[in-house]
Amino acid sequence: MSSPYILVVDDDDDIRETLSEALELAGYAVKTAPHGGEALSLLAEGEKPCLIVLDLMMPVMDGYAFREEQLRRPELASIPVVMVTASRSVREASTGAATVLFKPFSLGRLMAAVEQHC
Amino acid sequence: MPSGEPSLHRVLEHARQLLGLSNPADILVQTCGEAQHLAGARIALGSYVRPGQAWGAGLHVLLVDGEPRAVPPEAVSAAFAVHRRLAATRGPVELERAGGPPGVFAGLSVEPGFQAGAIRAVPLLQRTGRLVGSLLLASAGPEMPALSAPVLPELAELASAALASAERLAAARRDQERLMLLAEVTEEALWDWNVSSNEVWWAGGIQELLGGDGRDVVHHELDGKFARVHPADGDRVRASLARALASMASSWKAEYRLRRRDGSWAVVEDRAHFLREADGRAYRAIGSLRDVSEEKRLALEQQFLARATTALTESLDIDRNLEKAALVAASSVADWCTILLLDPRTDEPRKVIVAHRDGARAARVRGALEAALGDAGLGIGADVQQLVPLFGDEHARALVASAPVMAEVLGEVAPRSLLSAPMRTAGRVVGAVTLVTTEESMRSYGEADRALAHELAQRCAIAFDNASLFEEAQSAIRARDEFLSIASHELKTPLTPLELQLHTLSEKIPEYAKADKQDWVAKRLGRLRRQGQRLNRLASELLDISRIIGGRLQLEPEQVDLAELVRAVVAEFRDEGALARAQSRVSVEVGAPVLGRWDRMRLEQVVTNLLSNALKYGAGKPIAVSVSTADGLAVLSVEDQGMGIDPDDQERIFGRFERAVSVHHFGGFGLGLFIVRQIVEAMGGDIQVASSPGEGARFTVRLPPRRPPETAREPAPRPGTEHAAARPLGDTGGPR
Repeated sequence: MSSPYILVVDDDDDIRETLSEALELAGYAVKTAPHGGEALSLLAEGEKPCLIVLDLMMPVMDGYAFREEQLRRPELASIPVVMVTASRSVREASTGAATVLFKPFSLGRLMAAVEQHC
Repeated sequence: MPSGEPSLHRVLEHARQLLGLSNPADILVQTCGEAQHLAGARIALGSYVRPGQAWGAGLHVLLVDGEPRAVPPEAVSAAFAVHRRLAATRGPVELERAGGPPGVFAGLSVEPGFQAGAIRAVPLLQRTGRLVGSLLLASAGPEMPALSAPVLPELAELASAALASAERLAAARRDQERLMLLAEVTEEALWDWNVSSNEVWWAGGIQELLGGDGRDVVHHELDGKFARVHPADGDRVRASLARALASMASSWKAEYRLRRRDGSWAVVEDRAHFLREADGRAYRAIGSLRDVSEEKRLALEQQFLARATTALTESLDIDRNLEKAALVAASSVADWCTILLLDPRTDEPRKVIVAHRDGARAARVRGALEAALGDAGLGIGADVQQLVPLFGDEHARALVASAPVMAEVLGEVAPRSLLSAPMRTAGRVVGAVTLVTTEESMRSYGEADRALAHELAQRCAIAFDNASLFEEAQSAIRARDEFLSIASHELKTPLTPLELQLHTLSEKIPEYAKADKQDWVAKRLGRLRRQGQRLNRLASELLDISRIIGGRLQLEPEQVDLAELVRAVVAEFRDEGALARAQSRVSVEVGAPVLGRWDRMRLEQVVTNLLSNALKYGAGKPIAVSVSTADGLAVLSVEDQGMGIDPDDQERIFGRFERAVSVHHFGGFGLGLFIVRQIVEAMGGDIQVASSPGEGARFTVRLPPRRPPETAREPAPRPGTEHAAARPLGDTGGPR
């Protein structure tokens, strides 16, 4: 297996940075992308993350669109995804089996998902 | 001088005269005159006394030499004296001056110089034997020819018979007078039906009822009466009367419509009483007819207005309500009803509602009017109250002139009578209501109906207004809720990096802060974190509130172990330091797993809220949390030993924005328990509180393991909760 890293996809700079920091503090490597399109480019580069933390509301390509695309590509489909959103109602159909966390989430919960997959 | 035996001709002539008299005085005069003539007596005095009448008050007639004279009192007394003798003998009495009662003779000497000589008197006897008076003849000389003997009694007999007949006639006249007076006093029309001859005699208010003039009594055949009955009622009434006649019924009653002379209809209540022979056959009916049009009209009007109001307040869709109300009108007080609605911004007609019993015809007229809505003429007169009792050519011309489409409309509608009133609210005219009658109901509107149109139009206007206000309120509420939703999202977003960053900072304290400063830094970071959490909670409450109100509280149930969830929440509170701060020990008593299908997040919210309150109000004393099952329900209980809750407040605290303590003391929106209850009830459960001041409080939540399958339950109405916009809370039952 390639060295595990967590991919954080969120359009908010502060969230990307504070989340990265917190995860790094916990001992994980972190890469970030500001929207779904960049996330796909990053994933195309080769190494796959052990977990993707995916914001839903993003410009250019939002979480739903990214997820759809991810599921269409066999090499990406199996990567576990934690969807985060402030919005309570999430379209079930498009999230599939991913975990959903609601902002602001407790770090503990995120860590539970991280520890499970990474 | 006596004239000898009367000829047959004379006798017959006298009898003929008598037959023509009905006045007792005339009868007496005629009799006295004839007697005087036949007997050659100078004085004739006739007296007639009714039963119970004193002699002096009776009728006395005096003829002297054939001429009537005033009767002096002495003569009356003299006649009385004679009458007494007649009463005793009951037959003719003859008195001579010589040896006769002097007073009598003196009394009868009525002429100066006259000296009564002989008196012949006969009683006036009725067939029944009753003595009703006397006939007295007096002469100046001693002889009365023998004529007096055979003829006087016969004359008296004739007179008695004539008087009796006159009496009967007078009685009949009195009865009739009484009847006429009665008829005049009562407003009813009296009728008397001779069944065999089929003649009907009318009296009383029949003229007014039918709208004529003159007080003449009208004779009609029974068919004449039915000729004026409304065609729709005729058969029914005839049949009912026939049935009553044929049966042994003694009375009959019916209500129907009679046509007045002016063509309008009166609703009458007809009552009759039958007179029957011994064998049960009815030979006569006496009845009275009462005009109940006004009563009926008012009653129907009330009924109509009540039904129209129900229609106007039936739903939230004002157009539908107005259509329904128009249909109610078109089925009761009118044949057609139209409601014209103006656009409040431009005062131009924007919509027209047309109602008629026949939906297809109504649709045709509506179609025609809708196509012509732009026609300015349609709106003309919308603010004028109109009454056209009888629609004529000039009205038609005026209508068509103002709006050409009216030609087509009038062709379809053929109005008989028209009534309209503006819908006015807050000083503006928002439309007009028009009622039209046709030959279908044959009703004509009158002045009294103006109030009806006005009342109807006003209620429509009010309903219209309410609908507008309601929509505005709804709009405002929607805007508010949307804003709340957006606001809380926006508020939550920065909280994520805030909390994360604070977490990172506190993790890094050992590395970056000087050893002796670490506690100081940690404490301050803790404050920041708590404030962040508080912001989080507040934003969540805001969002929840807007969702709950908007009925958008959607539950997404999944398999949850309540016991494990409670343990997790308590652990989180502990980790976060809340327990330490409140200085409360929390003991968790959970046994076996308590499984159910619940919305995990919402359930957590309930537990968190209750625990949070317990810590807040627990005054540092131990808190007991327990999870168990009872009667198939999951039971969660959170108990503190703090200040307790006054019984008066125990219901209130579940209300929105309610708090049992001062705002400044404990902070928050006061929404916590309200939201908890909404969630618990949406899950099909309930929450109770047991508490007394100074002795803490125990909150107990009971939940069914899954939401009952019935359709969404409305929260029971409670004071202080908003219900105007409340709709059932939904359960998405989402699959996972």
